[in-house]
Formats: sequence, C-alpha cells, structure tokens
Amino acid sequence: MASDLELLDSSEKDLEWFQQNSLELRKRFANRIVAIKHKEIVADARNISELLGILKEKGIDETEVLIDFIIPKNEIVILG
Amino acid sequence: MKIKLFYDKDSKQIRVPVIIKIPHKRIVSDFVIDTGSPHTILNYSNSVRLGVPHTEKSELVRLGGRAYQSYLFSKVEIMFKSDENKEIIEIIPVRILKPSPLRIEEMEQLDRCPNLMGIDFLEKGYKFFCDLAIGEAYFEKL
Repeated sequence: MASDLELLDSSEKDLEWFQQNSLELRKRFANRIVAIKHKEIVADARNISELLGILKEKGIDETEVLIDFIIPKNEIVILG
Repeated sequence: MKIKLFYDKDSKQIRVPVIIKIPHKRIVSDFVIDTGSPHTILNYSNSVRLGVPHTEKSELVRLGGRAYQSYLFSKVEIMFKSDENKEIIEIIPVRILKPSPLRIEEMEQLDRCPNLMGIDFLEKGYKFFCDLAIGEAYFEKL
C-alpha cells in the first residue's frame, strides 16, 4: 500500500497531466466522469456509481484514483 | 511551508491535490479554490467514496440558482504535500450538498460539482498567493 506522501506525489502528477491535456480530454470524454491514475484515464462512466462499479470490475483501488467530471468544450462552470 | 496550487488555463480553475481522510478510510482527490464560498464543500461523489454519513443537517446552500440542503461532517482531515515534500494536515468541517427531495438527475448534476475549498480554510491561517502572469499560486502557512 502506497504511503500518503507517495499517493499525494502521484496525484499531483496526475492533476498536472489532466490540466495539460484538458483540451483533448474535453473532446474525448465530454460529460463523462473519469478516473485518472498514472497519467492515464483508467475508467469513464456516466455517473459515480457506474464508475465505481467499473473500477471494481477492473480491480483498481477506487481510493487511489483521481476522479473528475469532464466539462464539454463549449461549456464553462461558474460556481458562485 | 508552501502548498503548490495548479492553475488550469482551460477551465480557469485553481486546484490543489489532496488526500481526504476520515477514521479508517482515505481517498485521493482535489479541491477547486473558491474564495466565493464561505465553507468548504465535499462533493457528493467523494462523500459516497468515503462513506460519510449525511445526518447532521446544516444550512441551505444556494448554488447555480438552486438551493441544496447541506449536511455537516466534522471529522475530516485534509492532507497536502508541501514544497519541502512534507505532509501538512488540516482538520476542517466539510459540508455535503444534497437536493431535497432527492432526484436522480439532480444527484447526477451534483456528481459534476467539484470539491470546493472555501474561505473557512484560509481562516485557518493561510496566505493565498496567486500571480497567473508568472504561473505561480500557492498557500503558505502563516
């Protein structure tokens, strides 16, 4: 099992990769929830319960992946 | 000690990678820095991943023109990595949003909402530095 610092280091790299490839990912996975691990999309689904099911089937530990919703290219998010 | 923040030029969001811990469980995740939010919000998906109970009702929260019931959970540790490769841990109450009444399509909308790191985090004694022109953003413990 990875230590907390190892996990943080890995997720930092995954977040950077996600941001650097955001344009391409927004085209390929628009409106999908994705799981990212080791600079790769390891699963994608319509909602979180479907995604957790796919990760379980693939034997991927869902606690160690970065999960994000992919906003379509022509949409923006305003939170406030 | 500084905590590096990551600016996404495409979505124009500033994010920070974290580990969210409750007793007996941890998950990898990230927060969007939202100085417009008074409180830190844990998104519904992550509350499900952690198995956080939705029992302690808190305020109604307005988001995107819709009101959501929030549920308070106080036993959350948020762990960051410092620029010196050390762990920084903050214990902060989080709120989880749920539509009332529960509707599947609204739950899916909440799946899409990121975790939000609000002003209550900065009140813990962090300086928030951000200069997008030089591509630098970080929290610094005062």
